Amino acid sequence: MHFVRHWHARLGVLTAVFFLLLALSGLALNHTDALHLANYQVHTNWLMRWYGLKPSVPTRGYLFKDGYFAASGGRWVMDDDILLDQDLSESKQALVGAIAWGDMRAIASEDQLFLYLPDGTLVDKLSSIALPNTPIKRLGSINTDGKPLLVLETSQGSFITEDALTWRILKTEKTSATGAPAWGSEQILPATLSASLKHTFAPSLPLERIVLDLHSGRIFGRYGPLLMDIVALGLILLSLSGVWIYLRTVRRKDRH
Amino acid sequence: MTNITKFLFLLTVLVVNNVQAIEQYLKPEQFLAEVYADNAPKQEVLWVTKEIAKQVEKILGHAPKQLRQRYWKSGTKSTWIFDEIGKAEPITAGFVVTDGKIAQVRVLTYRESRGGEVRYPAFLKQYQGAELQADQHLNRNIDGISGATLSVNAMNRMARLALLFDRMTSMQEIDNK
Repeated sequence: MHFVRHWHARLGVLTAVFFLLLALSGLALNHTDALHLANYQVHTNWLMRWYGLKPSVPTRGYLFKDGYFAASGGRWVMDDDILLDQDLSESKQALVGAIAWGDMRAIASEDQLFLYLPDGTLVDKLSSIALPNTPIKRLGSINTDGKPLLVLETSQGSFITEDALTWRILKTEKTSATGAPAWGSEQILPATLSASLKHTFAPSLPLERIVLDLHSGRIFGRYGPLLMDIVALGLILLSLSGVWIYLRTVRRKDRH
Repeated sequence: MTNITKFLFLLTVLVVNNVQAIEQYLKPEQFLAEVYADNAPKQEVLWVTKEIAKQVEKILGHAPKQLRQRYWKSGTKSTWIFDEIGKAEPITAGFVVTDGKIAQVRVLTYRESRGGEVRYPAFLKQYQGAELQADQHLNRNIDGISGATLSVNAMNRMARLALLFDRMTSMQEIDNK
């Protein structure tokens, strides 16, 4: 009896921290939607380093008259605003290019065309159903009668539009009369942007992932889950020894 | 191939499949072909003005994501395709509205790791005939699915939005006449 009581107490103290960790993280995970854990991004430097995530700051991007667009590691940034942060589970948008088009900025991936206002407001997102053809190879603009037209180059030829609603094929005769389209091309980003780029491209993880990793022990590395398995075994032993101590105490009381 | 190589190959396939959670059930083009029997009308655009945006925000609980909404309309039948976040990833769903009532709903792409049951016809047929009340809620209760509450909520919001936008386009048509 004394032996079990002694080890029950020791095991209780040893596993108390992990038990609290499991209980608190379990509570949080049970209410992950109400707590919006998936929407909250954690940027803490030491934690990101612990996860082995390093900032991937782009050195090249697309420059506009009054701003820039850059992409790296699935994150699209325009003038310090994150436009898109593609999760690992998402099929990545393969970026084709970006260009200023009239009052808007057009950004194209192989399958989609995004139109933004300079303040980052999304005007329209065109997928294959609204595009003349995909995959998009190049994105450019051309001026006709003083009007800026957006040009999409695809394997079926180049298409132009005035409003991104109706498209017509760009004829080569027309090109020679108006000049060739100016294609959006990557340029080296100026050093003045490096501080803000470092900030906007700093790695982050959703809080839900961190709590989940705490709960499973994966945050402690390769042997973390094994550690949690040992803690779980400790909790099983505690439950069994607790019941055993209780039963013994009740029997003793009955005898007296 | 040795047994170990086969095992590793299988494991890789399983891991890759787990990471890739996107399920595209129907391409938008296929959905339109299904709705209009391969004779889809020309795509039209509804500009989300400030007035419309206010109403949209009441339904979605957040500002509309884009200023232009594309749709297809033939007579009193309009078709809408939306992306709305359930928990963390957007669900792409198509809605057909006829005479101000939901006629058809399909989940086109589901990206969340759980809650994909919202794609089943048994759930979606609850929307058939649903109308928008004056308080911009559906005129019927949609039974939820355990463990898929956020996806069901997102579907409800999109259904209400389709009905609102259909009403807006009908009003604009009357104004233009």
